[in-house]
Amino acid sequence: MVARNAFRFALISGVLFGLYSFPYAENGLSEGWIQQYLNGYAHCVGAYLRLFESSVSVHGNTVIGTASIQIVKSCDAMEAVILFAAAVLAFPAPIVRKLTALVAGVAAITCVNVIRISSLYFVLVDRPQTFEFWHLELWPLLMIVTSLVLFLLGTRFLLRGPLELSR
Amino acid sequence: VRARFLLRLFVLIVLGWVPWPGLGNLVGRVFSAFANVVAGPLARYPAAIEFRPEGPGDSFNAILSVTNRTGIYQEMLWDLRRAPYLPVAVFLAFSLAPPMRRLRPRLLVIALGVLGLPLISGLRLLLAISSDSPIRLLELPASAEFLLTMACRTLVLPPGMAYALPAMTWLALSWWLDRSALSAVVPLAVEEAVSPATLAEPVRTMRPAPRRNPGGRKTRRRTR
Repeated sequence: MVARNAFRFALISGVLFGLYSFPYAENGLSEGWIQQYLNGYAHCVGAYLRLFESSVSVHGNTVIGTASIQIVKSCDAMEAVILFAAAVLAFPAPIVRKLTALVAGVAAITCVNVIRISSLYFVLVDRPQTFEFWHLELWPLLMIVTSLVLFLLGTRFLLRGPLELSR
Repeated sequence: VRARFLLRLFVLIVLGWVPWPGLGNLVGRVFSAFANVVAGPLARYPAAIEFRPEGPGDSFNAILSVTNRTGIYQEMLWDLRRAPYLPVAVFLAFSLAPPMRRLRPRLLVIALGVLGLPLISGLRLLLAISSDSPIRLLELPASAEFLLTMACRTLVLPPGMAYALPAMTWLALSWWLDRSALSAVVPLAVEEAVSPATLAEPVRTMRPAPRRNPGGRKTRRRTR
């Protein structure tokens, strides 16, 4: 049972990582979508930052204020999202519950990631010398822990009620 | 046990994070020696690959120098902290956090992880010397190069994988070799499969429990 779930997890995460990391054509449709998605992220971050600093503006995928940050593909914490999604989808539970947990969890990870990027903006403004540590060491760990905690909370929801497990 | 495990894990990860004096230099020396043994044979004379610690300062960087067959020479700065130092430190934290029950399987898990994780981060090196550049040393088939690119983008480049990959490696290796370590951490779904009872009896045949008749009264069988 556990081995089968682990295999499912590996398979689903492999497929999702493959779709995300695929070297799409530079000016193709997929890259266009990804660019739109990153622009959307930048607008969310900009909206959040404007709560603290009214002069912040967003141009494409770049947030400009006292400092400027560009949202690129690896800024979207996709590894945390993919691992969470694969763990939820591989979990033996009814599909409707899995989809509910998936949507709620991905939304929560996205919110945490918006906070992460916004905090990096302030790090860049106040303590630029520590930016690498926050960007590449602390926040990635927190994002992975967030996705793990959300999954563990999700398992309570997935296991609630009568256990009619769909295989 | 889980709380204790999490506390130990947290402390060990923080200890691994701290840039202790001399640690960067030590990591640079150890990694360079290891990488030169593993990666050296990839280049045939007169081509050469060599890692060396960055310098006398306490830096987590190594310098990779690659010389191709025509003598073109290039040096690159190689960040050892993000990979392989952090993944190995996190893996060690996971391996040392659960209570020690059986020494030999635990040591085997540690050895496999500590040797394997730097090899995964070495995919970057393979990609660097096989991609189309002046220091190309390996000519891989297009499919192999594609797989290498995908593996590198998936396992090495995302910053979160420096933590997720060692955790998953530890889970997989412990599941395979040292299940007693997992009993300290198993979440809901795994709990049943790795409960202490299961650990004591790895293979258990499920049979219906025998019916008991505590009162000793005779039961009458109803017939139609």
